[in-house]
Amino acid sequence: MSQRPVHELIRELSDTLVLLASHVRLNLLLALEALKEDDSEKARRVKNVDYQVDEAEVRLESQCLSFLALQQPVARDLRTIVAIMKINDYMARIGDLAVHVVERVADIDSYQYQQYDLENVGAKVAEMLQSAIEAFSSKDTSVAARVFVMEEEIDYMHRTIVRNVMAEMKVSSDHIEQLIAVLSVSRYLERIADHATKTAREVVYLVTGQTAPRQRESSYEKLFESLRN
Amino acid sequence: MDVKNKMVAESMSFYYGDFQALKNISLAFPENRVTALIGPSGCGKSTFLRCLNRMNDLIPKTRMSGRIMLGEMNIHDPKIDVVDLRKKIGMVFQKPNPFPKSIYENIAYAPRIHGIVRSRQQTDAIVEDSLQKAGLWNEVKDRLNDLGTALSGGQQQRLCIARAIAMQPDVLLMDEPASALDPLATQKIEDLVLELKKKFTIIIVTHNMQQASRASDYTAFFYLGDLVEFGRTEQIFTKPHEKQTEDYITGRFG
Repeated sequence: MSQRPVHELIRELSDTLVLLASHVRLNLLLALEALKEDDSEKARRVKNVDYQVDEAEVRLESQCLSFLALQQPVARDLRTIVAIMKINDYMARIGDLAVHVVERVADIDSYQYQQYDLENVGAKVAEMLQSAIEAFSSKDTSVAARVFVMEEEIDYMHRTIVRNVMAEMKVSSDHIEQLIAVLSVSRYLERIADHATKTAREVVYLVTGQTAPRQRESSYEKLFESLRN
Repeated sequence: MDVKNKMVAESMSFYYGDFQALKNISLAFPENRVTALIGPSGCGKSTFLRCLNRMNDLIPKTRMSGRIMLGEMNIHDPKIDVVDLRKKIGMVFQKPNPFPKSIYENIAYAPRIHGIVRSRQQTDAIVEDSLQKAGLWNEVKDRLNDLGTALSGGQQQRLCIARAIAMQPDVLLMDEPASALDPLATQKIEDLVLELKKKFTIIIVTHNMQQASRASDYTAFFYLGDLVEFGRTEQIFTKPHEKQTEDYITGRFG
């Protein structure tokens, strides 16, 4: 297989995405630290980094559009550029959700943080994101498959938090605001996991040309189902 | 939607002397669809195209095995007159080759000698109809007595297409019909191909990948005399099954 300048360009676009994604992951870790330590300075830094991520996302999208217009890629080259554009979008959304998480820092105290095991959920979501990025950079569907398994765990953790928060709300209305903040953060983390899953699905499409089967039920449906029981 | 095959090659091999140019090719061409034949130079795609209307018959020291069917008819059946066969299977070449006659005569010549038209009125009608279908009528209707060779390259090529379709063929073979034309003339030929497939089955050899992806419904990739892959154009250009196809269309070949 010969490498031509056009393929070097595709590699550069891939590398740019991996770099952007690793900034997003580090920013998520920083957001989780800010939440754990109730640290408003770290929260501020998370927001600043997200501005830069947004700018990088717009730049990469524009580069991909130019590539499509000028090179008219086909087959795997086409799938790669399409995957880069979609994952680029998912990463920007993950960045925004990390900002949403730190916006709730002031509302959650350490008691709730520990009681609802947000640290564990956050760590799992960050691990998932790392695997999704690794799946893309190595174009490895077995790594992508790990992401799909982790998504199930995150869904389960999120459902558990919702159930427990509701139970506590029924017992007492003293901490409604904090509990709503816990629910929100749990939901943001679950959304991040969704985007990591979609990233992994793009990797499967890129490598095989086949679309990975979607989860039969949406996470909402599962949530409602679990609350009914 | 069910698609009927208009033309079918079965286990076809072709030899130039000892050299085997086509190796056991089986390929079916769906009716009223455009099939693009792609592959690097020397892969056998043009040889294959020329076999479809027996253009290779006259080349010395060549032989063919296998069978080519046009509908229910074996094109090598001894009862078949090759001239009649080529009425059913028209061809347009890479380089426009109008007769050194008027635009009108370029179209009228074949229908007249084959007795398809018997009056001036019928001839006028077939000339206009063919030029209309080839998208050339409005450009030449006031100068039908000018020489065909005086037209621009793109117009000459559309004149050759008009000449081919005047015979109402079942199948239209095109050997890189736009490779000598500028982008605008190329675009006109491609648009024309999409229009003509409503009436004809079209098989087109092209080196232009974008042309294959834009203008065809099916694509066959040839390499070193083998048919490597055949499939819907959309599938070939988004997720080819064979690595050789992938490498060729993404420019990673060789």
